[in-house]
Amino acid sequence: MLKIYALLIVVGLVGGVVYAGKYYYDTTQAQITTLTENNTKLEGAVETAEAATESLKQDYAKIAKELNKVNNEFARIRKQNNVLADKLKDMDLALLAVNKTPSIERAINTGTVNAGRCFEILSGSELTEKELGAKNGKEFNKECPWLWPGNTITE
Amino acid sequence: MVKSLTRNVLGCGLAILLLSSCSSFQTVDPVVISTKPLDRPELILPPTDQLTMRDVEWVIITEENYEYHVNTTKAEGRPVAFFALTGDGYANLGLNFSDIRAYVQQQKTIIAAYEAYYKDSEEVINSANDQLKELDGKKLGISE
Repeated sequence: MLKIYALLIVVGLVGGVVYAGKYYYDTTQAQITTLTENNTKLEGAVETAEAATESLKQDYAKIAKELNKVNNEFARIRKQNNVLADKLKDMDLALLAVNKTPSIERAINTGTVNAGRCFEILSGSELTEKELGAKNGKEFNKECPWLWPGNTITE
Repeated sequence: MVKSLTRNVLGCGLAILLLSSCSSFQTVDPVVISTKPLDRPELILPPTDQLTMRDVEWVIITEENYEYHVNTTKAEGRPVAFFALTGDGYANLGLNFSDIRAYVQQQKTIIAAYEAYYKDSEEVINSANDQLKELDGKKLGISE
């Protein structure tokens, strides 16, 4: 009787050990598989993060480029805006108007038409035949020669 | 008797074995990473109205010619009233217009810069999204 119990215990223990071993093996394999998958995913995440960083870097480079371009353009526009101020600085318009009334009248009327035309061109108006055929900025429009399509003049 | 005992022992042994096995359960939760590129809707705006400037005629009135202009205006049947500017006032008006023109040019420059930046950025974003899609595909391939 005792032998039977001992045998049963031994068989039970051996069976338990074998089962535990099998279970341990299966669980470990499953964990290895999951961890491998996780590792792959994490590697992918790192690559994704690197791609996003690269994209941001490119965006910042673009920002710097556009900012630089705008600053240069603003400097050019300010310089252009000073042209009239410089012209009028050493000029007594009232005195000139008294002494050369017809020519000053003609000049300010032409200047007004030209200045108005500058606004029209800036708003997207199509260029006239005369403007298209202009050989240089001054011929194009004395008030805004820099708008001439073949412009190289900044003042 | 022996059979019953054997059955009991085996049954208890099995139950103990199963219960003890439960305690060794260890699970590793899989990491879930999802990336989803978003498409930015395109902003389409109408063009601005084109300007057509109205005629403005300047008349210079001096001591010598004011009578002539007064008489001409009267002869044309228009009320004799002139909106006058001094030389400095005229110069300031011209400078003000010049400032406004510069301001318009600056605004155009800013709009052009925004346009250039967002168009270029869109290209960068699209290429980054393509890269992400590619990576997602790669990951899926391995996981499966």
